[in-house]
Amino acid sequence: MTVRWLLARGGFLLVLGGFLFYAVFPFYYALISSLESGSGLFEPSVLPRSATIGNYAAVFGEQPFARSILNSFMVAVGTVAATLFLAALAAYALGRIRFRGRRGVLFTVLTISMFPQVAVLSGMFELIRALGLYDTLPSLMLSYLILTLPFSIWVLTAFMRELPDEIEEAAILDGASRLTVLTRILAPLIAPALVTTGLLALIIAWNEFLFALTFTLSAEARTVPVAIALISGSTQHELPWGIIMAASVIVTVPLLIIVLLFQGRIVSGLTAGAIKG
Amino acid sequence: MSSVALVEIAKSFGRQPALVGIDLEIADGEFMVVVGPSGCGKSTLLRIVAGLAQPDRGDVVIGGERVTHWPPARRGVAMVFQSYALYPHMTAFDNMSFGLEQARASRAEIDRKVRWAADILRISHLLERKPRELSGGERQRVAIGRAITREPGVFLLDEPLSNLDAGLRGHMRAELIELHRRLKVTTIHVTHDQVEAMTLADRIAVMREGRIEQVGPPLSLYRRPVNRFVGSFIGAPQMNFIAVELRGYADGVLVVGLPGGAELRMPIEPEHRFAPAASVEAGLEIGVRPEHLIASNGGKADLAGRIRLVEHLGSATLLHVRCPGIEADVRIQLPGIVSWQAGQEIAIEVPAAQCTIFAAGVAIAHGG
Amino acid sequence: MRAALPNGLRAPVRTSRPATAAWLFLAPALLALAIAGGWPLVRTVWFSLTDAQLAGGPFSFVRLENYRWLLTDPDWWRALRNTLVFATVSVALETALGILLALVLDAGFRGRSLVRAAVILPWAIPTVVSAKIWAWMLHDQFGIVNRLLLAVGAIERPLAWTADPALAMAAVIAVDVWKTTPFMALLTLAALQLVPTHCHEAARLDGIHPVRFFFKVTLPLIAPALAAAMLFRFLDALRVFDLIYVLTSNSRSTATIAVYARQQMVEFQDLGYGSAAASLLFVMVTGATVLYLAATRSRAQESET
Repeated sequence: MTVRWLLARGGFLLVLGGFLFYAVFPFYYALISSLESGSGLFEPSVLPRSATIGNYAAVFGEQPFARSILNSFMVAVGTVAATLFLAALAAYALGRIRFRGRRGVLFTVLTISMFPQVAVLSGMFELIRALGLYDTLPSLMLSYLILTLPFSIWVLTAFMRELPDEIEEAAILDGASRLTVLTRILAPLIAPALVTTGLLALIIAWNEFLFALTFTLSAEARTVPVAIALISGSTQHELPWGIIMAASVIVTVPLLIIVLLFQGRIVSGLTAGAIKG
Repeated sequence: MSSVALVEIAKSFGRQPALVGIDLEIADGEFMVVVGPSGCGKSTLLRIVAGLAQPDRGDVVIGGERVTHWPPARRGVAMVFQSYALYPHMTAFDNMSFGLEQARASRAEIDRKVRWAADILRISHLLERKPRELSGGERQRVAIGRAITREPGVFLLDEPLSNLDAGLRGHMRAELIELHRRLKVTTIHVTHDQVEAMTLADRIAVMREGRIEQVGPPLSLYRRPVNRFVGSFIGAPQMNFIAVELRGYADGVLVVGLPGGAELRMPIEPEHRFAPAASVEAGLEIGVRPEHLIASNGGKADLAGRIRLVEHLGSATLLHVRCPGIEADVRIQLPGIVSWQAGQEIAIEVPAAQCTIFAAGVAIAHGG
Repeated sequence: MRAALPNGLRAPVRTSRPATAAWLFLAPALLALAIAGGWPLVRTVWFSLTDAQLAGGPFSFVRLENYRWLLTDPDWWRALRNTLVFATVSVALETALGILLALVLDAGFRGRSLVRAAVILPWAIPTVVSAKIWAWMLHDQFGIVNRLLLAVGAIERPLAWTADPALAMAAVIAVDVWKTTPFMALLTLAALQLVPTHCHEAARLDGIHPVRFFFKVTLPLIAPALAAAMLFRFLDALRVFDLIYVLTSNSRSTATIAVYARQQMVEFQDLGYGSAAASLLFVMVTGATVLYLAATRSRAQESET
């Protein structure tokens, strides 16, 4: 073990530790803040000093936060289901059938994925009101498709294209229709990709803020991000930080579980979307 | 049960012609092997029969019906793919029943047919396994099983043995013969392996560059190739080709001189009998198989040379002989183990009865 | 085999032509994209040429009037500048930090996957949540950041990170870097893993210093993937809304085009005017993409010749 080796090793650990601290400390701090009670909150410290669940009780007591969680959950599930259904059909056509205009469609889809959300905001607002969906959850499921569908189509198309032709041909010789080929043969084969895109779509739908803020009004239709952003105290300058931190922790936990369980899938989805796309 | 006829099939991919006017008839119950080097169009031909590809021109007739534009599933054909193309997420049973299920067969019928096929192929104990839990040979059987459960009129095999190791391949060849004997289904088997073609086929069709060069029973192709390509493609080790000069050409008999001076006399094929001598003389060579050359110990010597290399195969020995005036080594295959060694001088007898004479690549005279 | 035709031959199914089938399978998704993306965009552009109000009611066509007003509005120019500063600085920082993090993650060590999970988490949580957590940490009176900086003597009195116009942009960028560095790191890591290992081995044999090796070999090899990822992030950063909206509300010192446009549309109810701002953002994003595509294409042509 030379001095040089020790220096290199030490430097490496320092950088790694720095990143870890940077990434994790805010969560840790949110957690200990959420467990503070009353005035303890205003004596900031990096060490936990109390563990009360008062803030957590308040999140559900003073706010219809359970309702918001349910809303977010329903919107996320609805968005994911619609996205996977539509994207799988489209990816079959784009990945498995040769036809004129294929490249044009892929290019269009890519273009749509670059639309700034705010650029469709007013048109979408009008559409949602015209459809009578204002302040309802379906308005969010519909509008989230523009965020989730393009990349899902790209990722699934890339995976579809990699499947061997012979498997599909075997199914055709077995008398399967195109829809049967897709549902019985190809979809199970790209199941990992479906899980990946589904997770990414889930995260996007769970986290979205601008549409949710604009297309819902009542507390009953709010999703979690909007609910958290709108938590307010008795006066404008006195935000109930303990409650906000408790709500933040509550929202983060399911994502933490998903990330721990599926980090490999999420990473492959992100990189497939960017690199293959 | 169905006969198959291909009528003037042509197909090109972009500007690249893949098939040029293919005519081929396969009798009901016949085992036809289509053989040729890679890229000769044999797989395209098979896919056209299956309906996975459409010909640009020409017709596919199966069982007397013109099926050129029918969808694959309606043609009563089943195919075994080179990669087997088993459905990886389904068990062997589900792989074999999928086609019957698509055809809306009853549960009892599906069960009966799958078990019948599994029984024939001796895979009854593997039915609950998924493809990844099967060995290469077992996957092969499931792929064949999937094809036969549907009781097709025509059985299409696309290089089905090429992914097996040599020992298993020989074994599966025998099984395919056995299976065909038992089921008597019209079979088209595509391969690049001439040994497979020789051992399996009732008849062989040799293809090159989108054309069929010759169709016939294996031994007839072996003995009487119509051209240099068929002669060199069929048979292993490969046929020797030795340039010769024209010595005489009259009364239906051709006399050619070997580089050493020896002469061979052979009857000319009827269709070439009246070709002008000048056209016959162009690129004249004899083709003779290594196993037909005789190492002569003091006997008649048509060629003489020095042994450059001795290959011991155990059951036979292959000598590579460098002969003056002949560009490539002449190869002689002798039965068993012999005492010839590299560096020795050897005299070779060329039996006219086993030779073929090619003029510009076309066979004009057969000794046999 | 039996003489009867197999069951499958009963129904003469005609397969549709491939192109027809392809469009049938595409139709639902394309319809959804048209409804959720295409039509709203067209309407936004149309509204930008009118004096429509959010609440509805009659409105009239005003041609380019909204755009003319926009170009004379100092707040618009400030929003444009904020957007460009935010996008440029945060993408630059994220890229630099992302590469460093990717190199760290690329070195095999125990617990790597746990570390990876830890660094993805900031990316996975809602921006609103990260903005709130950081807003609390950066709180001028009770924030831990001020407390720690005071404790080590880096500052003499608490700083109003999110309220002070001079600091707000820095704060917003810091949070964005925290949130999106993982994304850059993961993309860089994927690109790094495509660098053939024999390059490393050859370099080690030749005794090339690792830092020199990185700049001479690794970086050029991952440059195309890195450029694509940077474009991705840049386009994303141009559209930023929720982070800034939550962290600094409608502060002029940080308001980006998206914040400005939504404020005009929703808070000031001026749908037409806000739509004009949103349309210009769309033009910017499209323009950046076209520039990138043109640049990569000309580079590809250069390398061909």
